[in-house]
Amino acid sequence: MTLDLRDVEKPARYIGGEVNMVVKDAKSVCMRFALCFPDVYEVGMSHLGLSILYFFMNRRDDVYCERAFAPWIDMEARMRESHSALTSLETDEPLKAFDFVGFTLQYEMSYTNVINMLDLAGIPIFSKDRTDDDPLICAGGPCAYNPEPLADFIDFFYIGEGEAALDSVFDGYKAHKASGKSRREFLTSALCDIPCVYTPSLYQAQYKDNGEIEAFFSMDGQARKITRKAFAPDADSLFFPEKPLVPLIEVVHDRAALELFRGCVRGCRFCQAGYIYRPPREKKPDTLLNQARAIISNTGYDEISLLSLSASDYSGFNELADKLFDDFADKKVNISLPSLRVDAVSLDIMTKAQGVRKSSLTFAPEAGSQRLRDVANKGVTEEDALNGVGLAFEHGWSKVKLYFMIGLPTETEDDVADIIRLADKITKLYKKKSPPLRVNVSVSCFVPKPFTPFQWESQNSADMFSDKQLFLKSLKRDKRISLSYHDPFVSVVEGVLARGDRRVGGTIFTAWKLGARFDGWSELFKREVWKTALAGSEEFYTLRARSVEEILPWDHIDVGVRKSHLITEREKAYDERLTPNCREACSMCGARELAGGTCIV
Amino acid sequence: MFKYAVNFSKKGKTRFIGHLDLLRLFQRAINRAALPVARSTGFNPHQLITFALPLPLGMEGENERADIRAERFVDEIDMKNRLNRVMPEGIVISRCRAVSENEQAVRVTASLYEITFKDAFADMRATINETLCADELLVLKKTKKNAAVTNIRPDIISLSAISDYAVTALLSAGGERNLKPSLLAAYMAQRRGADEFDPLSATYKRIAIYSEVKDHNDSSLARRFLRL
Repeated sequence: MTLDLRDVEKPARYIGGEVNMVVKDAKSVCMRFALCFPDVYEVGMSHLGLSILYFFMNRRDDVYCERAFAPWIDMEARMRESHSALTSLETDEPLKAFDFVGFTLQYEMSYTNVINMLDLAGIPIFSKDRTDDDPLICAGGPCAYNPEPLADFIDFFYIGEGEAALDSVFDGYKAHKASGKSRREFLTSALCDIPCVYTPSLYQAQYKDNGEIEAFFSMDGQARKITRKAFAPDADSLFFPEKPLVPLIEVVHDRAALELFRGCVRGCRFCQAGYIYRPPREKKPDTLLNQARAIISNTGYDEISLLSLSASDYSGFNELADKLFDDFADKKVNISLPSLRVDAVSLDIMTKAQGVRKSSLTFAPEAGSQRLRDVANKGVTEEDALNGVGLAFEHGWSKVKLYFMIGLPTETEDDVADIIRLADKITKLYKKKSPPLRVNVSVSCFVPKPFTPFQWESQNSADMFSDKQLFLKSLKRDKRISLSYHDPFVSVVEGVLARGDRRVGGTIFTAWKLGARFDGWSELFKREVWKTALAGSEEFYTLRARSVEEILPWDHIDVGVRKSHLITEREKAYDERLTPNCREACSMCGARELAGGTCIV
Repeated sequence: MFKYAVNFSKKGKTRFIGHLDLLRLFQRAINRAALPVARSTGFNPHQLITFALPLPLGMEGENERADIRAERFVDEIDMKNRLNRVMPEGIVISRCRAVSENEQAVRVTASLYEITFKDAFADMRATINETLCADELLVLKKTKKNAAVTNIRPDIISLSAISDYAVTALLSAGGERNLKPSLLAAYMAQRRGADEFDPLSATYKRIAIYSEVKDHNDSSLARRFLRL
C-alpha cells in the first residue's frame, strides 16, 4: 500500500515486520496463500488458531503463507479514495496475485468483512464471477461448519482441523498447477478427493413452499453427499509454533499462548465448540512445558496464558501449573489462567499466579436456576458456585464476574429471576467492609447453533430479550451488583447467520452493499441496514422451531457426532436430565469412531 | 547496578510504532537477548529502561537514546550485538556505552530535525534568512481545545538549507520548551505564500537529540549543546 500511514489511526496495523515473521522469496515458492482474518489486526493477531495455521503452512518450503486483516474504516476510506488494493503484510503484494485467499470464520458477525476484504482486494465477490486469473477463495474455522450462508462467495470450504488435511489440499493444487488445467477443473475434480473439502458450487438446494429445504443434492450426481471434518487424533504430536509472531503494537491478548487440549469433556447443550471439536484430546504436561519454555525464550513475552475450552478439565493441570511456576519464577514470567472451576486447589494456583493483585474472578453458571442449568447440562450446582465464591472471598478476592444467558429453551420467568437471586446470595457471602465488593453480572442472549442439541430450537425475539433484560433490571436492588447486556438485535442477526441456508447469502451481500462492516463492534453495528437486509426473514430463521425431520442447511456436514445423539440430548434436556462428561461415561455420541483422545479407552 | 546508554535508530516502517509500544518492544527484545536487566522492586516489577525523549508517531529517528540498567556488568559490544540480533527490521543499535551510575538523568532540551517539503522553494536561503532575522515569528498554534498565536522565534536555535526543498533545524525540545517541526514548516510555507499548510505535505526526521550545557558562555552551538 502506497498510502501515507501518518494519516490513519494506529498505522502499525498495516506494516507487518513483526518479530518472527516468516520471510520467503515469494517468486520462488510454488504456492502462495493469503491467510485472512476478517477483523482488525489487534483482534486477529490475538487468535491462536491463526498463528498455528500460519506457521503450519509455512513449514512447507513450497508454500508461502502471508497474512491480511480487515482494514479499519478510516483505512478503508483512504484505500478506496486512492484505489489501493488490499495487500498482505509480509510482501505488501495484492491478494489478487495469490493462489489461495483463505478466511478464518470465528464468528458470524465478521461475514460482511469477508465480502469487504474480497472487494478491497479487487476479487469478484461472487464465486460464479471468478476466472482463472483470480485466486481460489476458501474458508474454514468453527463457522464453516454451517457453510451455507457464505456458499455464494467461497469457492471451497475446509471443514475441520488444518493440521489434519491441509497438506493434501496443497499437494493436490501443486499437481493441478503443473498440469495447467482450469480452476474449475481443480474445484470439481482434484478437491473432491479430499473428504473434508466442500465445494458449494457443486450442490444445489430446493425449497418447499413454506421455505424449508425440500432437497439438497449434487448437481451432476457425482459429488459426494457428505463432507467429513478433518481431525487430528493425537494432540500431543500436533505441530505447534514455538517461535510465534510478536506484534509490534499492543494487541487484545498481548501474551504467549499455550494450547492444553482440543475439544471439551463437558457436553453443555448450548455449546457448539463442545460438539464440533470432539473427541477431547490432551497434550502431555512435559510436551507443554517444553513448548512453554521455547515460546517464552523466542518471544520475550513476560506472560503466558493456558488456553482451552475448559482449562480446569485438563487432567494434568496442577502438575503443569506447578512446573510452570517453578520454571518461570526467576524469569519474571506471569502465568495467566482462564476461568477455572473454583475449589481450594485451583484457588491456591490462582493465588500463586496473581500474587497480591487479585483481579476479577469469573464464574459461568450460564443459567440462574438449577432446573435450567440441568436443561443446559451445565454441570454446576448452586452449592458448588457459592462454595467457590465463598472461598475466593476468604482468599482476598473482591471482584466477581458472572456469566449468564437468557433465552435458553424451556426458560420461565422464575429462571430469569433466579439470575438476580443467585447474584444476591453471592453478595451476602462477602463479610468484609473493604475493599468494596463488586459483582458484575453479564447477561448474553442465547443463539441456537448448528450441531448442538438446541439446533432445532426457537430463538427468542429481540422484544422477548429486551423484556427479560428490563425484568432483570427491575429486580436488581443491590448497588454492588452491576448488570450488562448484549444488544438483542445483534443476536437476532447472529441467529440468522448461524442457522441460515444459502438464501442468507443475499442478505449478507445487501447488508454489505448498504455499508455494514465490523458488525461485531457495537459502535459500528448498523441496525437500520440490517433491518433492511433481513427484510423480515429473521422470523423464519430465528423464531421458528424446526422439526427433527426437517433437512437442516448443514446436514451434509459430518462432525463425528451423530444427529441421533443430538436428538437424544434434546429429549434429555426437556426432561432436565444430565449427561455425564466424557471421562465419567461415554454417551455414545459417535465421535468414538474418530479414534482420538478421551474416546480411546 | 550498571547503567548503559544505548543509541539507536528507528526508521522505515518502525516509525509507526508509538512510544509505549516501543517500550514494550525493547522489553521483549531484552528478554529474547537474555540480558541481565535490572528490575524495579514491588508487586509488579518492571525493567528499568528510560527513553530520553519520545519520538512522535510517524517520525523517523536517526539517533535516539535509551538508558538501560543491568544487574551485572555486560560487555558493551556484546550488548549491542545481542540486541541487534533480536531487533525487528528498522531498529538498529548503534552504540551501547556504560555510564556512571551517578550520572544525572539526561534532560533533553533541543532536537535537530530534517524537514523535507514536497515542493521546492524559489529561494530557500532568503526564506531562512527572513526567518532567522525576525525578532518575532507569530504562528497559530492549535491544540485540541483552542488555538493561540505564539511566537516561535525563541525556539528556533538554528536553521540551514540542505537543498531547495529541505532544511535542518535545531529546535527547542523536551519538557520545558518544545517546538514541533511542523509548526516551523507551516510558517515557512506561509512565507512562500501558501494559505493552508497540510503538515503531511512535508516529512520530518529527528537527526539527534541534545542537552544544553548549563552556564556555558561559549557561543559555539557545538559546545553549547551536548549530543546525547
